[in-house]
Amino acid sequence: MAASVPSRQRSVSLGRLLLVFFAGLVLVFLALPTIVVVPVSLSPTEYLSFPPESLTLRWYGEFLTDEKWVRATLLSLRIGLSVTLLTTIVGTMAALAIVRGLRGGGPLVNALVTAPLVIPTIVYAIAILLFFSKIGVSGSFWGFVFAHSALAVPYVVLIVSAALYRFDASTELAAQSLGASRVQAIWHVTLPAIRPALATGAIFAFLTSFDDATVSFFLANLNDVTLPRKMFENLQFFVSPVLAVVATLLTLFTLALFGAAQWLRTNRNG
Amino acid sequence: MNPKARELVSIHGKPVAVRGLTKAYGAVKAVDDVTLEVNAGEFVALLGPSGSGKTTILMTIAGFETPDIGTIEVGGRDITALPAGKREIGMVFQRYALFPHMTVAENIAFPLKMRKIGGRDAAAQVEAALAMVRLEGYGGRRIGQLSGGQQQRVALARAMVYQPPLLLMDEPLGALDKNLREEMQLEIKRLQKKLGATVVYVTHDQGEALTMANRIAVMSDGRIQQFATPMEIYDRPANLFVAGFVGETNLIDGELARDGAAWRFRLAGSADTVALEGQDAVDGWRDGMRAKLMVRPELVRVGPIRDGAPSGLVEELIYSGGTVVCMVRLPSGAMATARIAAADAAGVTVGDTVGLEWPADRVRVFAA
Ligand SMILES: Nc1ncnc2c1ncn2[C@@H]1O[C@H](COP(=O)(O)OP(=O)(O)OP(=O)(O)O)[C@@H](O)[C@H]1O
Ligand SMILES: [Mg+2]
Repeated sequence: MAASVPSRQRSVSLGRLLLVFFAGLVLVFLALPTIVVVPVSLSPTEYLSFPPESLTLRWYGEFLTDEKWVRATLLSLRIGLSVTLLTTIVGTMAALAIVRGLRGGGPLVNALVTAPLVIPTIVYAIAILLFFSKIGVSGSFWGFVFAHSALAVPYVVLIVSAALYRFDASTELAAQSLGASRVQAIWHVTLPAIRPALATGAIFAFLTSFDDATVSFFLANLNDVTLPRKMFENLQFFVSPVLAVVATLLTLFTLALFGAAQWLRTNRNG
Repeated sequence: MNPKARELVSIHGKPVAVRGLTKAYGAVKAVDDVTLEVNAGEFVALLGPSGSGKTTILMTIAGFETPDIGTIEVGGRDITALPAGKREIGMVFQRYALFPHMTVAENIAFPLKMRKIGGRDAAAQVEAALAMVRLEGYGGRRIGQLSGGQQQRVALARAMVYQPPLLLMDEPLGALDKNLREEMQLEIKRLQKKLGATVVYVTHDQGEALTMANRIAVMSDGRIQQFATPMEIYDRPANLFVAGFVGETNLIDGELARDGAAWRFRLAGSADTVALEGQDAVDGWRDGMRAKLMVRPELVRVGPIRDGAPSGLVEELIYSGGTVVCMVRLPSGAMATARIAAADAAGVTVGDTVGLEWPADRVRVFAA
């Protein structure tokens, strides 16, 4: 791309310099606080300190051996993966119904399914708490899964239905004329062709669950806490550098997943 | 081509009968009581302007639309209630509709896979189908690596590999440029003839219909206006719509004039008349009835003025290769076009008043 830019545009003007400067400034302000946790997590002191006097992996060891941290991490992972599986299936089915199935009803279903995106999360969390306490699933594993799924499913629906709109519907008809049933046509042709969108949707669903602190804050009981909730607790009682360790690991993990989603999107025709 | 490959793909076309087909979308009757009988191994074109119901007919035969009224039979079997996947009909779409995530060979093998044919049988049939559309060695390519023409060949191979007794094509060449389109017309025609396939082919390109089809169904407003051979459609159009839609034509205003047992046609704005012979619909004719006379430009001869015969003023001469298009202003003010040989045009100049002549049995007259 850059190679095709005509050379006269390379000439450096003052406006261009200013633009680059301010864009850089914004980036620094956005990224700096996140980057700062990395050296902090490597500091040997018992408290959060910056800049660190020397570097050590001590707190990483602490995190990996502390049973409470590990349990919280595993719980978050298990919830996240269950949410991913559930929302990818349900969300894809909803997207198929919206784009292909429902004549006229599509927009209504679309509005319903994507409503959690516009409702403030805290309002949703309070509502969920009241409802779940009534039916007795508050604090349980499945309580988390369902609560997170409602938050995550809009992303899957939006991403998958966008891909379905782009995908030529006559391709699905072709599969049927060639001997496939409607379900076979979707299974063998439509879904494989939009695989990148399915994966991107799944990643967004996972991150929605994995990063959620608000709903977990309301739903969690004393024993079963998710990772973000555990971080809050840690913050309230004793601020140890393990917090910086978790923050660092979370950031890297999230970056890796987003990177994967981005890669899938740009290479979807490869 | 290797002879074994030829045996693997041999379609035995079956006859198709569409009876009383009607399909409405809300208040719009997309297809209105259409009956169409296609013989085994016949190539039939559905020709008509945009919105005339061609695609709807095809979609109903394929099983993607359910008719409000009417039945569809293939090979004597009523398939009206069968789902698309069980109809054994091959379909080729305008935008190819290939599966983007599969290779060329996987695309062609798809209908075989759906029929639980796999392994070496499938591989051999895919090879044969590729050879048939002259794409040997392209099996491993991805769809995105093919040109438009090659993609449409793959779509053809995929629709033919399982030897369906009926092939449906909806403007399969609409996305190709002119040269490639003409090449593919010949290619499809060659395959259809060789394989003996029954083909229903939708197009709004009359040239395509005239060159490819055994018979053409001309459609407008959801109805079949005429179903006949290209020659008949061209020479003896059934009504004004067909006359105006297919080919270049002159439609000259005037009225009918009785002449004993015969009929003549009087051109508007003059007393000039011409004889009429071999007309179809004379039953409803009355003396003095307003009518339109259709005559193809290549049938019109330009010559000396004769008493009582049509004449006009030459307004323009357009040279196009071996022929000259001669535009003549009639007394009514309307323009008539004659396409004459360059040699015959030698004595004609713009501003001349000339006589016009045509064979009395080659024109059609429609009461207007
Ligand atoms: N799914 C649909 N819903 C509503 N109206 C439709 C639908 N499909 C077709 N129609 C209408 O039915 C009529 C016939 O459409 P059809 O697609 O069969 O025309 P066509 O002859 O194939 O035209 P074209 O040459 O533009 O492809 C049109 O008036 C069209 O608007
Ligand atoms: Mg159409």
